[in-house]
Amino acid sequence: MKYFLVLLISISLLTAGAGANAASCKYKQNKADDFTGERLVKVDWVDMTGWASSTFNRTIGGRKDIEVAAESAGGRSLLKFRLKLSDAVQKPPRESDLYSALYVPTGSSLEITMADESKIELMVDEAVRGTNRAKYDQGSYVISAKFTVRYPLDAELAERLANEDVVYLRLAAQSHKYDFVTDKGSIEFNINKKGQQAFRKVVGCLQQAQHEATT
Amino acid sequence: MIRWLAVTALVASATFAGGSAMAADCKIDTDETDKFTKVRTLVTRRNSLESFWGDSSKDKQKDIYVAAYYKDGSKALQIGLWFTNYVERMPPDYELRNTLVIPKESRLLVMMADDSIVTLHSVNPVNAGSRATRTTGRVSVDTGATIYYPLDDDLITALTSQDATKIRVEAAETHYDFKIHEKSLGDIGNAIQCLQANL
Repeated sequence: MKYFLVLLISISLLTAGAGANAASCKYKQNKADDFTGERLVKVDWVDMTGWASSTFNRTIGGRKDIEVAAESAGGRSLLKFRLKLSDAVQKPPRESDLYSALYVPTGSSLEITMADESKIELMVDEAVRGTNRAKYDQGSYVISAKFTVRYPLDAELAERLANEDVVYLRLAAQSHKYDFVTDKGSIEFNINKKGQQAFRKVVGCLQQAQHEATT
Repeated sequence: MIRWLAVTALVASATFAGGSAMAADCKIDTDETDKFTKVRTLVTRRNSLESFWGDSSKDKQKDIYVAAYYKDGSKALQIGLWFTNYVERMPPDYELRNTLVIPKESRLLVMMADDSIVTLHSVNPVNAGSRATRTTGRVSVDTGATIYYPLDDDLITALTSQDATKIRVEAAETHYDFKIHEKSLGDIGNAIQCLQANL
């Protein structure tokens, strides 16, 4: 029993260390721009959704997946989220329904609740409309929305995100007809164990690449 | 069957290899004078700066073409862009509008063989849409546009004095980078020299 506990503690320590582990950083891009010479860093996507929520009900709507990545160019850093949402309805959608199915206006907030219960708020600086589609499937219309939303990130907030787990996300958005967005005007994620270290990882890797570029 | 495929590939590669030699040749695509205004228009043949296959991945393909253009005493570099995306479902009409927007005065950055950068500015605003076509099993979304970048004597000297290796076309909220294929390194300079030789 004692050995089992030691093993469990060792595994959890190893997992906790993964966020800051240099070898685990994956970059889609980490080089100087050919034309401007500015350093471009794009940390690869990290899935924050557990397999259960991403696979259950996928064919009949109710899908809710989120991935996070980070990038920096010319001294400006961004936290990026890629979302895939779906909802099932009985009536075929009109084009205007799809147009307004998912929209994130400029200035919309992202509220991040950290494991220590502190909160961080970021703002969208460029509006995003989802890639919204409809597909007839088993007697209903599955409406899906895919989009990537970017939030500028300063050095102080990056430091906080790189050093604490995240437990809850609330992204402000608009949807006129579908259940992608709650009545409060937000898309909410209760982050499970798998995704809680995602911010540590992507922001930590971004900081590491920036550090390496300056030394 | 394999033999025929090999022969086809050889013929294709021979045609493709011949392309580099032909690129150096001066070919005029349009040379006409308007009967009413007497304004002459001269355009060299468009050459792709990409490989024979374009810059393609599984779901995307992009091509860039270049020609030199003359009209009513003004010279310009004509850049044609062509993008194809393959998607699973037919996009709604609103997504096919304004897919390629290049405001007036947008920059074209040309990196030369010595890593210097020649900067041109567009004269015509571009606001292009896309066309979606259902093909076997998926939907092809095609977008194309032609942009004109005026040339003056300094730009002509800079662009004809050495090969060009990379191009960046700046658009409204993004930019498109192209690495010029080995066969086409001299195509920009050749097009301009071809234009001048025929004026």
